Amino acid sequence: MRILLYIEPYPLRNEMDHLRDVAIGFANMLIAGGEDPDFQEHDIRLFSNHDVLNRVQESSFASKRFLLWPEREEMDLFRSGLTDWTTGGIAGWRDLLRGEGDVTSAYFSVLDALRERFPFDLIVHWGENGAVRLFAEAHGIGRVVITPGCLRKPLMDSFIIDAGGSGAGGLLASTPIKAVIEAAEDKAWPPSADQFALAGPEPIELAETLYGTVNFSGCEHILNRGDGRAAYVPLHPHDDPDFLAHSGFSTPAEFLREIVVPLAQKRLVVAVRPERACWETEGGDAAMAEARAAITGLPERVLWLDPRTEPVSALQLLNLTDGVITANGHFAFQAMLFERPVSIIGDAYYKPEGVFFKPEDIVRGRVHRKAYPEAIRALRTFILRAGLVSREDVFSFPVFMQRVLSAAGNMERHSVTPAQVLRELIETFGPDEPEALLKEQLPPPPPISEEPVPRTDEQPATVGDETATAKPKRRSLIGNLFGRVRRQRSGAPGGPSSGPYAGAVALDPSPDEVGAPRRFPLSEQEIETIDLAREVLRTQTRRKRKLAVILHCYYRDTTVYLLDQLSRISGSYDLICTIPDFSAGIMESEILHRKPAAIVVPLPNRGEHIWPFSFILNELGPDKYDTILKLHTKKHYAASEEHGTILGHAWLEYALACLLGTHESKLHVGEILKHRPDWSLAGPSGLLARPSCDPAEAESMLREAGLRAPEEWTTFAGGMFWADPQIFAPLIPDLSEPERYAPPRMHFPHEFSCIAETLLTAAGTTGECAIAGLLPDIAEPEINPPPIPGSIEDVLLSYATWSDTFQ
Amino acid sequence: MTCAEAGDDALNHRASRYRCLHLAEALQQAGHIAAVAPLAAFLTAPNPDFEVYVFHRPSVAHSKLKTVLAALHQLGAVTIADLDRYIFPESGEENGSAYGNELQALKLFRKVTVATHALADALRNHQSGTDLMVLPDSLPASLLGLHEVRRPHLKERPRQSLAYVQAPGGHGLALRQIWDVVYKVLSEHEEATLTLFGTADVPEILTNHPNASVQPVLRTPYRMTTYSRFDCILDPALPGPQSKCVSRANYMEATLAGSRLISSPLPDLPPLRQPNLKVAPSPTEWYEHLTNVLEKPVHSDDMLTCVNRTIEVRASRRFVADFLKFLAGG
Repeated sequence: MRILLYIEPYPLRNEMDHLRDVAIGFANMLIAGGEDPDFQEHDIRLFSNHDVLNRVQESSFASKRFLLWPEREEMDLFRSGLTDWTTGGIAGWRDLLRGEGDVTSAYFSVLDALRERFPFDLIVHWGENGAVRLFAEAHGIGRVVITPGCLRKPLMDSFIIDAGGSGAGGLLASTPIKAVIEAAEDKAWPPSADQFALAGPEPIELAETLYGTVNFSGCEHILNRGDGRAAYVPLHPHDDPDFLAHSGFSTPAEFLREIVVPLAQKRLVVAVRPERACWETEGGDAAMAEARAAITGLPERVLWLDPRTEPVSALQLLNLTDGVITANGHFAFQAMLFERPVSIIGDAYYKPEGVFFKPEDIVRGRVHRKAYPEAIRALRTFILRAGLVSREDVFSFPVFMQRVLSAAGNMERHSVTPAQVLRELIETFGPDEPEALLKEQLPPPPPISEEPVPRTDEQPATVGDETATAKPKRRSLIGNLFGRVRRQRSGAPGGPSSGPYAGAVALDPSPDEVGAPRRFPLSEQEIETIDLAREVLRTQTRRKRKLAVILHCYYRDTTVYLLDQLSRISGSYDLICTIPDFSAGIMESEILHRKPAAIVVPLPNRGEHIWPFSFILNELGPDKYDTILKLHTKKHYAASEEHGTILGHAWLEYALACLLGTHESKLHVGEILKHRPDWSLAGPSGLLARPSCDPAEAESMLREAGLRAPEEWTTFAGGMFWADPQIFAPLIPDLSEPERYAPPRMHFPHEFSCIAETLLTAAGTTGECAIAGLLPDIAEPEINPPPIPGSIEDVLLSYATWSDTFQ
Repeated sequence: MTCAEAGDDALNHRASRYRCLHLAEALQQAGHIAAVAPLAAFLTAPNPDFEVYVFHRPSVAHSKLKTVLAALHQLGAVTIADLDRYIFPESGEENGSAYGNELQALKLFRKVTVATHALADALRNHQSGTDLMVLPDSLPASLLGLHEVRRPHLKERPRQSLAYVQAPGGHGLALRQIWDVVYKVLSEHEEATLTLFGTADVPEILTNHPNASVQPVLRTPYRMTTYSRFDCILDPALPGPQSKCVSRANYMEATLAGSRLISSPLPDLPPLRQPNLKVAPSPTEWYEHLTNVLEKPVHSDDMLTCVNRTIEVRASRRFVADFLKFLAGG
């Protein structure tokens, strides 16, 4: 079969190469797919504009054979769309999405010419496209659309692969609800099970969000509404393709004027809460200002809740209101996870006829239809088991092919009932035993020791301590759905065979060598997590920034504190937050709530903060940033019977005062580092101590990497520092191997992370380099300071006292 | 609005969940609006727009409590104190009581909800004129929904596996009272195992028994997942009024997990004989029940009956109507 992968050539958001990452993802998929036996049966080509295809070719020359380049006059047409996005660009795209206007005719002609050059049988296109739809209908060829799904980060980065697209023509939207219920049969779960499967955290953490403190502006109008009703209206970005293509509205303001304002005039209290992303795309500010202006006449009826300033979450609004009214936003699906009444004005992938409420029903409180919970349970069941595809699977050749061919086939089947089609999809793509999948996600009990644990004077460490015991692994339900589809993996992940450090010297000792470090194989789940992390880094670190803050977020409360402290850094930087995979959902949302631009990378919980740091460096390479700042959330360091955990806080305060200065002084050591070639690693002076591990093993690794051992072994206790990433280059291939780090468990005496931490400091003293000791709020560092003579506890105590006395 | 204890992770406490979040969920499902806030946060920025405020374990240690209560009363709001543990001093010890601040706070409320009937009796003895309601620890729909899918009670587990689970920050003085019985039973049954989650005050000789193993204290608010790996849970309690006022939360979780429970007598335990529950008032009974449990497996139909009965009797939704009636009364 000849398949055309059509990546939208129209310039989106004023960029000709807006979809470059998508195209590169497909190119890589096709290159990797060469090893798949099914690959030879198909001829697959990738088409887009020149700018996108150039980026693909730059990314991998091997992709060349799959690329279909546009002619010059076709490129002229594509470039003609490069007008001001807010005044002309969006309008052109909207026409194209809907299959209207001159632009559709012009792109139709491009497809005609393209088919002359490559006579495709099936067109797979990224994003809705009315021209493609009309073209496929006119020529009787199959088409399959890939669009973002109705679950978004942090729950799940999901996609839909459907022959009918994401609107009314989609498979689910065009199936009678009775058939969906029949297909779901006894497979449906109660809402808390679906929430649990998706959200990762315990359901109660979700409950904390749902039932959290109510203290936002205007909440009194919702709480004191008496017998009246209240609705939550989520707004999505003004240039969201689903909104433009299927809502029937051109702008969020138009939606508010036509639907929401009349409802408010009927005494409905409305909480309008735009998504954060609404301000992030070009023209977002103006679109939101226009939307806000549309409702200003009704200040007590319509609340404008800006998520950047108002302490209220979308989930909380679900609880405080009688229902959700949306143009066709994806949040409606999330509301279905909580079995809340939903009214969808436009078309949506998850909206079959006759299931959802009319806005009038919410105004009048007619939302207790008995059939509603049954219907949305069935919808959820199909969507979660078979409807949504994870990002990883979209770009995995076997899954992609299976999905695309299945979607194309669905439209051709006329002999089976709609329920049979849906059931077959659930059986093909759903998990064999979904309940078992859910059990896997439950916090597994701590491992039972083979032997009694030696007793100490203290209690054994409690579950939840970073160093203490195995943490539960939680996986997205959807991430697990495709275990039945073949996947190919090449090479062991995490090793020096991949990443920009691949050419560096490998330090792998022979397994027979006496004293060779132990290795702990990765589980399948850990491998998947690492693959996903690579994808995140690959797609999200494209900006040109000189400074990166690499923050390992283990503890939630300290994470919040540290994120707030980052305001002490002047200038722009990339914030890369590594988080243990078990806390992915809740931690990611916590971080993105405070730092929307953060790059959040869930990783297997190995090697404490050291392996995540080494992994990031290995993936990004030594040249990506001039300077890095390594931070993490370890706490209770130096806790003692006498002083309790106060020293833990003093430790963090002290380290931050040395590394970041104060809010006032905004000491930017990174800048200083750049102009001082004589030193390349700087950490808190009072935390420079002798390492607690045996330096002998560290020394042999250092030698094998071609580095000189330091005269005196030291380490920045707590592992926070500024550094020039180049100094770590010889060591990183080795330190970034996850198998070297034991999975967390209660007792493991020879933790490799301790050696690795010592090596990172030692790297700062080799060759021409020196390390610098920083003192609180003092810009002039000590070069190559000696390790502190006493204990860290003494340093922290005197700092805590000084800090209390003088500040 | 229900207010949980103060503290950053207040809502993560087992008590806060049973007393605040479960109630909030049940009220919300009945069509009301409910929110839960840590007490310290609420007192710092109180929201005056609710009609009812439930303060779980209120304490005058929070200096703003009195002021905020006065303001809420002025607005006509209903305020309720919620109590789930015995805080009353022995006679003449009031000033020195560890819970003096909570006792003083109780006097600021006319309406009080308590977790057990024994606690209600204790409160009546200590403080007359209080409008009291027993609002038992219960199981919300979200927890039951998960249970319906996970079905932990059907999980295979080793026969003769015993577990003892200590509360975070708790002690093992109760287990210390019967350690010799447990030791003897373990020694008499080669296949039996005992897993101790937490060892504070547990005699070393027991933890060093070849069939015993030690695990960290569980920090998870619900213990069902852990319980579901064991045939029987040991839940000894010290004699005294504190233990008498403890709720049956442990029994509910053990039952949903499909485990048996041997417990010291607690008035809140189900009054009728339950196939998965053995009450042991003395070491002799502990020995008998332990031996019995190790030698006779529970029938799966009996276990299922216990699970269904617990869900039926203790589903949170059952208590909403009484709670609303309590609010309206007086």
